[in-house]
Amino acid sequence: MNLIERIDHWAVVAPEAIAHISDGRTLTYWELRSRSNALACYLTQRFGDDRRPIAVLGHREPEMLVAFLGSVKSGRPYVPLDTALPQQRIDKILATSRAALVLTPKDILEFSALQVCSPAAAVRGDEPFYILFTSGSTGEPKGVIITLACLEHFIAWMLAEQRFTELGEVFLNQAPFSFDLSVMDLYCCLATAGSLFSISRDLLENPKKLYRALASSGVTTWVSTPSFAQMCLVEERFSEAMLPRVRRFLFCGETLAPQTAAQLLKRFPRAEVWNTYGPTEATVATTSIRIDAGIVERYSPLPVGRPMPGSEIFIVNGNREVLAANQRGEIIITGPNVSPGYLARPDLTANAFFQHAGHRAYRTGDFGRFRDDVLFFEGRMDEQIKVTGYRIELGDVEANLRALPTVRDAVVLPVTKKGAAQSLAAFVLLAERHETSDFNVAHKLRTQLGERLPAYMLPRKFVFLDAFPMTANGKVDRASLAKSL
Amino acid sequence: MIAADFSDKVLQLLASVAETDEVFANLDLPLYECQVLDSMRTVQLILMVEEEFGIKVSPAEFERETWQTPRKIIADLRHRMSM
Repeated sequence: MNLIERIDHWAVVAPEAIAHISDGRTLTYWELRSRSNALACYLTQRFGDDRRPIAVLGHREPEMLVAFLGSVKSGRPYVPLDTALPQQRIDKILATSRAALVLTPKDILEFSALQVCSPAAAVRGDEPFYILFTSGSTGEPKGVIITLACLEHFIAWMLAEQRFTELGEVFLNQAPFSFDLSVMDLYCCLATAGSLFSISRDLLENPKKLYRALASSGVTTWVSTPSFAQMCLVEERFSEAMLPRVRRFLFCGETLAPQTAAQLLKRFPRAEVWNTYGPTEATVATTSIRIDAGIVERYSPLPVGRPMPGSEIFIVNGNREVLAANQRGEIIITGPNVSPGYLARPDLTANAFFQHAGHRAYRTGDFGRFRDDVLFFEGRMDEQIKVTGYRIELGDVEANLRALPTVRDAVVLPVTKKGAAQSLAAFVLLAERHETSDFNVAHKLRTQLGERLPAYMLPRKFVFLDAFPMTANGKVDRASLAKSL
Repeated sequence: MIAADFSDKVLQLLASVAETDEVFANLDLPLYECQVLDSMRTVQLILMVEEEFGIKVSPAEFERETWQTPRKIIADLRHRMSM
């Protein structure tokens, strides 16, 4: 059974089992299979041999899952898009992906209610399964292609390591479907006939509702960014008493702070805490490690673990020579979980991907080193940063700022606290100025930029300058700007 | 503690979380609407308020309406202090 067949077989074994819960709406495994089959047939009839991707634009609706599976069952990859993305960003992604169709929950409901048939030509092994768009340094989002084989390799590892209870798990879905952390909860859940419990925007914005929802969720497997757990921990009642069934916390997307791990271990004495690491280009996560009290005590920062079986990680220097343990260099990932590359961008693909011993390999641009046989992540080599788990290229924000009519030039830097980026600050040279107060100008720029970029990429702080400080060789002195923050 | 000191301190905490001095200038700034505050920042502010004044605000009982503007935050915290 491949992954798609495995998900489908639950419709026979446990047709009434709940696959997804979101804002009070549910989807059973039977509904998931029959609706995704119907949608696959609709797509096949409408597009025939045209296998261009299907964009799926929504939030946490159960229809999203129907559309993801419907697309791949018709032999087409899907491009997940969250409604929080601004229209201009969506347009850029649609243009790059050459999506044949954009499906919204309303369309999906309509097209999946049609006749049920058995779709014949689902996505296979090395064919693209999903395409996930991430920030690109020049202001153009880039689409990471993940094949069915990549995803299966990742999921097989997760299932073997975590030993989820089939038909017994409730997975927390905190990340939007347009962010690959969600792939971890979504497909581990569907592969084991679990229930996916989504945190919608409405819950995120209303802490009172959020905690009430968590308390009634029955979550057994918590999957989130460390930032989200850190936020939840501020409430003292966020403990085993609120979530008595939690058995494990799985973290990915950003650095897990030792304090967060320690607090979780204390408040959830019966749960395991796992740290994982990996870029979108290598299918969600490549390394993992269980963080127990001993590790918290011994290491700060925490290690990110060992690579999954079948994949390898090595550390190289600037000349691409492999380094010994304890030496710091670039993290290279190789194995069947590595993406074939960026959609329609052979230039970017050639820069970041190469072949190694019969496998694809990816240059992460991350610094790291092995110590005591486990990998430690030590930051970025370039200007990519993570804010609350979201991957952002500073160049992307700068390029979009410069495209605004009142902006002459812009430099964007992270505001860091305890070594972690908390938010972005923009240093702006204005071409013209009509507003009087800096706050009003900043508010206007942020609003305009919000039409081009997702909210998590918008600078919080704006500093207006007449000129940028320069280094001796005539470049913008980013270090001195950073110092002024 | 005299009233003005308390308000000032609250505004300082708010300004540092929100990363803008506008909160001093406009006490009726709609914090959530202007995206000056969000869930993450509200929680940061809750932590700072506890550290500074010893006031415990439970995120599980928190409603955005009570902290909609700088003025409302000051009023709410003053009320909690007096309890």
